[in-house]
Amino acid sequence: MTVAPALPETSAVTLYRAMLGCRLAESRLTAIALTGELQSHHSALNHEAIGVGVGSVVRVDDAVQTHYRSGAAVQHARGLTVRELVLQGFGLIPGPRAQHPGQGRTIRSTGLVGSQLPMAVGLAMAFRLRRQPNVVVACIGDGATNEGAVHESMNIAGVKDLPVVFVIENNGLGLSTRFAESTKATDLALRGAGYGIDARIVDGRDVTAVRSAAAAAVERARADRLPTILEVKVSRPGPHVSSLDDVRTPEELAAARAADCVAFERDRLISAGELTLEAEARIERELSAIVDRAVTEARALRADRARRPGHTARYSDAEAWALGHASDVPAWMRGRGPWSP
Amino acid sequence: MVTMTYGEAIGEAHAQEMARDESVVLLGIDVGPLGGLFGTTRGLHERFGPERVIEFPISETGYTGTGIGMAIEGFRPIIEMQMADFVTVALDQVMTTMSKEYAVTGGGNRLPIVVRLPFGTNLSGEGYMGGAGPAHSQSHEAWFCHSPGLVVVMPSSPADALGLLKAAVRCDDPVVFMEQKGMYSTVSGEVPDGDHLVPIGEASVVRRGDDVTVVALGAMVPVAVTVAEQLAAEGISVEVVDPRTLVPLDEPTLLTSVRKTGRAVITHEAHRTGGFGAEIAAVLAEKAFSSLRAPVVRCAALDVPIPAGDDALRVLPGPRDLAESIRRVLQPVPA
Repeated sequence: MTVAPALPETSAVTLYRAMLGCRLAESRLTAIALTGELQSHHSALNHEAIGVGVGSVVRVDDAVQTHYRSGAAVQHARGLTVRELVLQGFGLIPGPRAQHPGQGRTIRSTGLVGSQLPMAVGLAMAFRLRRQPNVVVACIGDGATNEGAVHESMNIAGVKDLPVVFVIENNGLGLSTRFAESTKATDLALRGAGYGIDARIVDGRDVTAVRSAAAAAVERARADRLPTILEVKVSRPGPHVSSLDDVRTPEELAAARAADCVAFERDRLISAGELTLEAEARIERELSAIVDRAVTEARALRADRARRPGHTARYSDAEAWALGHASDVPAWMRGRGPWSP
Repeated sequence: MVTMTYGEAIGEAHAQEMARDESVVLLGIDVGPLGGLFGTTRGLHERFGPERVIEFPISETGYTGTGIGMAIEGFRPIIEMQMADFVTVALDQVMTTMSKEYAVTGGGNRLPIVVRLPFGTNLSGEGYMGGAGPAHSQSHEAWFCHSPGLVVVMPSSPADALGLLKAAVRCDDPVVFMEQKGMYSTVSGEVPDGDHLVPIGEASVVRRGDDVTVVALGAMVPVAVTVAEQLAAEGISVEVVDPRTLVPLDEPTLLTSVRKTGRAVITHEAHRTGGFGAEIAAVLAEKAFSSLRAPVVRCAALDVPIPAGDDALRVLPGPRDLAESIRRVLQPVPA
């Protein structure tokens, strides 16, 4: 089975460009959130190498379950444009869903960390039962690994031999709680033994390392129908969400920011002669312009939406459902039966 | 027509729907050779095999969520809880994920899932479920009614159990199927032949009457019919209405009955405070106030954890409680 990457091409510069596009969009959204224009933003900052690394090795018909850290980068690697990342950050287009035409099967996290993982296991179960050569990659954070849902999911994936790759993005903080205060073990990869699942540790600064580890795990899931746990060590450069303070000392924060995946890849490409400083500056200018235009567009759309009258008295349940969720109202809700099966 | 028990009707609904549609699968614990904790799905494993009747480790969160993922990929999972009480450890999956998936994905992911919840006790006090204690006797229907995005049904006869479960399997959105486990073997009835479907969202007037409407849920429906027959001898004419579906509630049928009788008693096995009876009472107050000739009366379980054994009967509503409630609602209201 050959890997058909979702990115149109996967040269190192293309990967770098994807990481940088995501970085610029996320930085802008975070800055806007800090002004109060957006309520808050959970940023993907410094998780771009994970998102792009993982998102670029799966096939379009494979499924990736995102969460708020690498989610933007995964979706970008699978085809969501930088413009759309910005619109999503403004809450103007729906989040991940199973069938984005041409953007790969993406499923969401639920807002309760870890509770989304059984859903990913369910997709893997469906692929296995249908003998479909697809895999699921499910991304969670280190904080989520202490949830019961994560334990149950990994146990089921192990005992049922499901084609799923669990990517644990270990940035050392669960919201504000440090890793050592949440977990006695030194590495989360150690948990693999308890589930009978092969587990590896990966350097999350290095997109190439993430990519090769993810490619191997995805191939194992595809060919051998076996799960893998990848613990990707990474650092978080800011608070959990834009509206919160960071509890770390200045020294801790400086160290976290120094381990930057975008800077790491840029330096590597430049020293290897694969990218010139001029080309790097041009890419950044292009992407910044895209972000600028997207923010202008998002603000206009948002102002338009704000003009919609409020107050529940104006709407039926069905009207409010359609307005608030951009989806058709379920058949059973459209009124009294007889509901015809 | 064939006669079968409430539990057999549930098993039959699985067999018919799984034979009709290959995407229908059963997910649960001990649902394989054992046929489920109460034996309701006995024989399905042999007939449809381990890829259609899928056994899981004891992990309600895990397999409920697995069902969600399978539904996204086109399966139509029936998720069996061994007892309704156990869904409490999978509530995030049902109330936070399942109920909202369709809305938050902009209509992208539909979840044709049935979550089967064997709830309640054996109100007759006989047999295994006579009072299985506080953690094996609960009736949680109100919680799910309070989580938009879920359909909630509760059949009270074998025919309705068969027809509503088949309809639930064919519903494109998640359905919480409240099955009263005390009725599995104690309640029998005739079930129509062929492809018997009971529409979701339609109440049933189980017994006609003129003086008072009893809105009864689940196991209280047969109790209400028995009490109505007893009171008929005293010249009291009782109409019994079974909503059958709680969400979406068939308000017109309830309102038509209460506008006719002018008096209502609501009875369910769930606790009184915050029970679904409160919702029904509120609907009657909002929409039939001028027809009411007496305050609405609720006849429900006391707000006490259900005790084990016979002591359960001191907490749960019984025939005598219901008869007293009906007499009370018929008292002249002081000016």
